[in-house]
Amino acid sequence: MTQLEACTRLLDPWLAHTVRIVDITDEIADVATYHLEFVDPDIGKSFSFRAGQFNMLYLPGVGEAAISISSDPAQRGTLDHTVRIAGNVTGELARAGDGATFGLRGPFGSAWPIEEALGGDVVIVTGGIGLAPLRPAIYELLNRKDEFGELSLLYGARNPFGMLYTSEYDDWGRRGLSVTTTVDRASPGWDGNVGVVPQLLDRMPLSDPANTTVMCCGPEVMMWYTARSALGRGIPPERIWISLERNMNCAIGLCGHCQFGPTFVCKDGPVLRYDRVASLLRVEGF
Amino acid sequence: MTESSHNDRSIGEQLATLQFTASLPESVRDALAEIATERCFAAGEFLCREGESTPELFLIAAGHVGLDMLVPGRGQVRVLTLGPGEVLAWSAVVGNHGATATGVTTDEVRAIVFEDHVLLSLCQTSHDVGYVVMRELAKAISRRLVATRLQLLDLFEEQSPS
Repeated sequence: MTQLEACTRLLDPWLAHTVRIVDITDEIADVATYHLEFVDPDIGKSFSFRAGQFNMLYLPGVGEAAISISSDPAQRGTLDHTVRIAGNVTGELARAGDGATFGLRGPFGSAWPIEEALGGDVVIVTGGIGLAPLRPAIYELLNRKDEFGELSLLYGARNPFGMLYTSEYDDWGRRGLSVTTTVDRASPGWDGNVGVVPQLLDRMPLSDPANTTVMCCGPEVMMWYTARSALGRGIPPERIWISLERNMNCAIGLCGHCQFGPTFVCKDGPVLRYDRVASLLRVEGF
Repeated sequence: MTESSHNDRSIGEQLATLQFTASLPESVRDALAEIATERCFAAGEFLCREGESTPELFLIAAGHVGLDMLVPGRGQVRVLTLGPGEVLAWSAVVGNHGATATGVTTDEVRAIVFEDHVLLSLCQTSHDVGYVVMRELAKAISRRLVATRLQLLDLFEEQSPS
């Protein structure tokens, strides 16, 4: 297959491409990162994505699930998805081993506002498995560190055993990302912060709030209070971005399953500007 | 515990940047600076102890303080970590009897310290000062309450985005 043919095939949003599991990293309980490669190497060479986008993973006979991409957008050859067991598809995926194949279509959706954040400070606020869709943004920000001001990660988890990618924090720190963690519940031996993650934003020093971008992903209540904290610190509403999760089926805004008011989360999101969806976040049923 | 000589900024200048006092009128910050002292604490020092009286209110300027509660069978359980701009040991100021948690420094801490009876006297003498100080204290308690609610919701137990 030529490069052009591969690109053309990638443009068909309905067409699933076969991927193979080349490795699995157990992260935390019920969460693993699947390192995938396209069976067709030409597809692999042509595939690119932006930080924050997701793929639809298709397991024949089981179904499809929308899963954020968690690898470096600059990485070629393999693609990572960090998956939590949450239903039939992810449960079946958890039973698959190295070498197993399944279908993948994508990438879909909007991306983190990397270009909009150029020249300013960036604060990433996330909790639990919400770090997975932000890891590509972390990689890209660090790859382009000179183009931004201060880079900070505020990361909360239920307890010390619920944190993803802990082995990478030192490297991120060396490359210029200030990493601060907290847990809702301390366990014996934990000597770090205790408390919810919006509190970290409440007290972190901000040298230039008006030129600071917040990228946030986690439970919606956490994101709402994070945005509230950010606004209270003087960060402009148009600089606060969140990633939403809804029941995404078609992934291209046709089926309506992920409709969120006037927004289709699969097509207009999952990354959305907070002030454009804030009024709907506190509406029961959305 | 030592009187601080490690910070070049005056207490008034620090009050102008810390969350608890930053939005207060300058005249109120000046009044507070008049009655405050600045102190440094090494890691592991106790600022207040659960059940004991709290003669001083601490405003953290730098460093962190863990709040622990004693649970029989589990020992001291850390329920919260406080950082710059946050206050602790407010029990006496709000009229409670004894601290409801033990505050222990987790790293080097620099704090702006108010003797409770002096602070209360200032608030009583000048109701203009007292009103805004108590309003800020109410905001701080409200923030702490919201944070506690979020902890109680146990949000990360639910399905999170993947």
